[in-house]
Amino acid sequence: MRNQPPQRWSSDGHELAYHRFGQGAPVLLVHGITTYSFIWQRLLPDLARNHEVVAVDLLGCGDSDKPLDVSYGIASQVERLEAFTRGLGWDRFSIVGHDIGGGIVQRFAVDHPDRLDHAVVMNGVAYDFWPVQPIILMRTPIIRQLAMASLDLGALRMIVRRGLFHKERATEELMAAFWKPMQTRAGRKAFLHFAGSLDNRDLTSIADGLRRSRVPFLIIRGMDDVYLSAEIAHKLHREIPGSRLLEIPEAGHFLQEDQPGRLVRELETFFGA
Amino acid sequence: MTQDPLEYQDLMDRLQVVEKENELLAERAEEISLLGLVAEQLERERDPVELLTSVLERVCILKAIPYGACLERVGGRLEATAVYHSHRAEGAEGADGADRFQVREPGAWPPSRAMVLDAGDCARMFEHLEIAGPDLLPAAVALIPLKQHRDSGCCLLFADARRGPGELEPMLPMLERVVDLVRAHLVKLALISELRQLTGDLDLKVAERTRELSRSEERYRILFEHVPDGILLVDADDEGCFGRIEDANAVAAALHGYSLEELRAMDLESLSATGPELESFEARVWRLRQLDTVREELQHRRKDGSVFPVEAIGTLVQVQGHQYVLGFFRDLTERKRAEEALLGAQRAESLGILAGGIAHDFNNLLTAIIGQTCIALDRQGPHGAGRENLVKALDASERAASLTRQMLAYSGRGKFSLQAVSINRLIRENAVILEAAVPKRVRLELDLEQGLPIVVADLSQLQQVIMNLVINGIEAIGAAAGLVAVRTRAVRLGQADCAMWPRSGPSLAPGDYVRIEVQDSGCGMAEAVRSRIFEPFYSTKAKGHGLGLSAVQGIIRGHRGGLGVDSVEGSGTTFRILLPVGLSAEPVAEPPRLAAHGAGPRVVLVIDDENYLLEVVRDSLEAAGHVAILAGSGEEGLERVSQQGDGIDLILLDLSMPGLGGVETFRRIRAMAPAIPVVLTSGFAEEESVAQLKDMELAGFLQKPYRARTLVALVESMPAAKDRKA
Repeated sequence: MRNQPPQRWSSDGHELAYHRFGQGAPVLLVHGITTYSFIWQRLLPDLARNHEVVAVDLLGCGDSDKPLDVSYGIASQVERLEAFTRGLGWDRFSIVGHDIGGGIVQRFAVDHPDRLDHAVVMNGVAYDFWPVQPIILMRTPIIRQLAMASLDLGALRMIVRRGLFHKERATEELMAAFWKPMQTRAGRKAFLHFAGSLDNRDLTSIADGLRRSRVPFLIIRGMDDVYLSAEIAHKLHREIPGSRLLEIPEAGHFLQEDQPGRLVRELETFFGA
Repeated sequence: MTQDPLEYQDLMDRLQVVEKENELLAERAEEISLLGLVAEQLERERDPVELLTSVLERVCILKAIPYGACLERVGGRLEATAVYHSHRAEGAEGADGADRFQVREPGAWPPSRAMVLDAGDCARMFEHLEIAGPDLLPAAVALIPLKQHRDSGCCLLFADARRGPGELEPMLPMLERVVDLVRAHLVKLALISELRQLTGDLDLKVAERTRELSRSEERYRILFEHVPDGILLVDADDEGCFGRIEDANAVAAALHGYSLEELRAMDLESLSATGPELESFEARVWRLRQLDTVREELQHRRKDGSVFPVEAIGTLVQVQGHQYVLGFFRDLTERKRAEEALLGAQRAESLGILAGGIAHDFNNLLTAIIGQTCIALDRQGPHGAGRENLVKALDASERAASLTRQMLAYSGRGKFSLQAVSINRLIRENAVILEAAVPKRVRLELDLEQGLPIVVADLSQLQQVIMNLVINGIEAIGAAAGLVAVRTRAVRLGQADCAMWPRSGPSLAPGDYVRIEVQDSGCGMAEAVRSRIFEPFYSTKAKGHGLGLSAVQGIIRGHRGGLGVDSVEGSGTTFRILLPVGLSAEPVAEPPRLAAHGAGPRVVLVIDDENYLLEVVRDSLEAAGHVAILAGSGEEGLERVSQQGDGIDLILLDLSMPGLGGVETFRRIRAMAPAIPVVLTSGFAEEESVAQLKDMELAGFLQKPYRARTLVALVESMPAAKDRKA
C-alpha cells in the first residue's frame, strides 16, 4: 500500500491524500493521532475483496496537506470527510474509525446519520477523554509524550510498543511508517497542531445525539489497550441504542497490527448483518 | 470505611508532596531529554542556520514555547537569522512579512546576561517587537546571549503569549546550558569551515602543482621523444648487472631496430658490438664518477645483427636518489661516409695540385726537349745520321705531352677555352669518329633529347670526356657482344637532388642542367673498384695509365658539373654527367689567324723563369733569323721593356712565374707599352687568369709544349714594330 502513490482530493485549497481499493459496498477507514492511512495496511487486502475501501489521510497527517491556519479538530474533520465522501461519489457508506478516528465516527453518525450504513469505533476516544481546549495548552503528560514523540524516535517507539500486545511487531518497518511525518519540520508542526486542535467539547456535545442514534454501531476494544480505558467502550455500548460491543483479547491500542484477521472477520460479519 | 480525618489529611499532604516531586522529576527528565536531543542534533547538523532553527524548535516543542528566534545585529538592525514559530507554516516567514525587532539603544544589545522580560520590560527595551502570522503578543520574553559567536550581537529570544515571566524564569539555567552547547558547536563549525577552506586552498595548490608537474613532465617527454639522438636511461646502481635500460626514447629504439618495450627489457651491454677489449659497464660507470661526462665512439649492434658506429655521450645523473647513466647515442654511419667522401675529395684535390704541378714542369721540360730536338733535326740534313733517332725522340716527347695534357685535365687546370656547346651535336660528330673504332659486336646507341639547352664548356675537353667514357664502355664489354648507349636529357635539380650527386664536389647548385649518360652492358665493377676509379693512376687495365677517368672528373669539376656512376658487377655500368646550362653563351673568339706579316727579322722579348726554356726559345728564334731578348723574371722583363721599348716586336710571356707573375707583369707591360703585342704561354692555363687578361688584348696563347715551328709561325704572324707604327 505504501509503495503506491496516494490519490488526491482537493477542497478549500487543501488536498487530502487517500488510497482506494476493491469493489463493493463502500467503506471509509479513518485513522487516529500518531498514525495515518498506513495503520490499515494489514486489513486492506482482505477487506477489499468484498468492499470498495478508502483509507484517507486526515488533513495534517500522512501525505495530506498540513496547513496551520485551519483546525484539525474532530468537528472540522467530520465536515471535511462528509464533503470528501461526496467527492468520491458515495451516497451511503460504512465508516470505521480508530482512536481519534473513533470520535470522528461518533460525530459523523450524529451529524450525518443518513449517509451511514454502519459505524465502527475501534479503541476510540469519546466523551471527555480529551481535556478541554484551554487546558490542553497546559503541559499534561499526554501532550508531553506526544511532543517528545515528535522529536525522538525512541519516545515514539515506546508509545508504539506500549500500544501493541505483540511487542515484537514494532518492527523497523512499522516504526519507519510511524516516524515518516516526523522527519520534516512541517510534519512535526502539523502533528502538534493536530494534538492542539483536539477539544473534548466536540464529543461531549454529541452525547445526547448518540443516545438517539439509529445508526448500527459496533464498538471494538482491544482488551490490552493501555491508553484508553475499558470504561469508554462500555459507556458507548451502554448509551448507543442497539450497539454491539466486541472486546478482543491479545489486542493493544494498535489492534490493527495485533489482530488484523479477526478484525476483518468481525467487520465482514457486522457489515453483512 | 471510616477514616481518621487527620490521617486522611496527612495522606493528602504526602500525596501532594509526591506529586510535586514527580512533577519536578518529570521537568528534570524533560530537560535532560532536551539537552540530549539538542546535543544529538548538533552532531548531525552542519549548517549553522538550520542548526539554530532545530535547537529553537526542540526547546519550543519540549517547553511548549510558541516562538523562538536567533537575533543578530545586521548593520544597524536586528535580524532573525533563525526562527521557530509553532503556529506558522514552514516557509511562510516571508509571506506575511518578517518579524520585526528593533532595540531602543543599539549599544545595549546584546544583553550581557540571560534574562526574562515582562511586557513592560519588553516595551522599554524594544522599539519594535512584532511577531507575525499568526500574531503573537508576548507576555514574557527570555533572552539568552550567544556570547563570542561571530561577535555579531547574537542572542536567542523565546516569546510566550500565555505564560508570564515567572514561568519562564525557571527555564533560564536550562536555556543557558543549551546556548552553551550551541556556542561550542558553532565555534567547532567555524573551525571546521576554516579548516575546510584551508584544505580547499591546499587542494587547489596541490592541483595547480600537479598541473605544473604534468606540464613539465609533458615538456620533457616531448624533448625526450623528439630529440634527434637516441636516449637511454641506464641503471647505474644495480651492481653486477650489465646496465639495465630503465627508459629509452623512440629514436633509440629505431636506431637499434627494437620496439620500445623490447629495448626497455634489455641491458646496454647487449647492444654493444665493440668486443671484449671494451671495459665493462661498471668500469665505465666508475670512470664517469670522476669525469661527469664521457664521450666515446662505440660499435653497436642492431636487432638484425648489423653493426654500426655510434657516438655515445654518457652523463651520470641522480633521479630520486638513484643513480643512472643518461646516454645520448648518435648514428655515425652517415657522418663517417661523408668524412670518407671529404677525405677522398681532399686526396683528389691534392693529387690534382700535384699532377698539375708535375704536368706544368713536364710541359716546360718537354718544350725544351721538343724545341731542341726540332732545332737538331733542322740543322741536320734530310739524310743526316741519327735523324731517325731524333724523330723517335720527338714522337716520344709528343706522347709525353699527351700524357701531361691528361694530367692537366685531371687537375682541372688544363687548357680551358669556354664556348657555347651543343652537347647533342658534339656527341653526333664524335659518334662518326667513334663508330670507326667500335667493334662490330658492340652497338653504339644514341638517345638524344631534342631541344637540349646549350652549355658553356671547353669543347675539346668535353670531347675528351665523351671519348674516354665510350671507350671505357667498349673495353668493359670486352670480347662479348654488347651495347653502349649515350643519352642526353635536360633536367632541373632541386636542393634534394643535388645531394644525390656525391661525386660532383661541393659546388653543385640547384638549377637547370644537361645530363649525359653513358651506359654499357659490360662486366660492371665491384664496389671496391667502383670506389677508386676516379683516383689518378688507378687502373684495372694491363696497359692503362689510370688517368682517363681522373681526367673526366677533373674536367667535369672544372665545369662545375656533376659526375656519378652506378655499377653492378656483371650487369654493366652507367656514368652520369651533369653540366650546368649556360645562360648566355659567349661568342667563341676566332683563333688568331697566323697570317704572315713578312719574314723580316723580329725582336722578341722572352720572359720565362726557366733558363732551359729561354735557351730553346732563343735557339729556335735565332735559327729562324729572329732576335731573342731573354728575361728570367717578370721584373727583368719590365726592365727590358723600359730600356728597349719600341724596338721590341713581340713579347712571349710565361704565365706561371715566381715573383711578379705573368698576370701582373702583363698589366705593367700594358701600362708601359700598350702597343707591343704579348703572347701568353703556359704549362697550364688558369681559367681565371686568362679571363682577367682577356679584356687586355692578348695577342695569342701558346700552350706548352709547343714545337719550334709553331713558335716561329706565331712570331712571324705578328706585325713588326715598324709596321705597327705605320
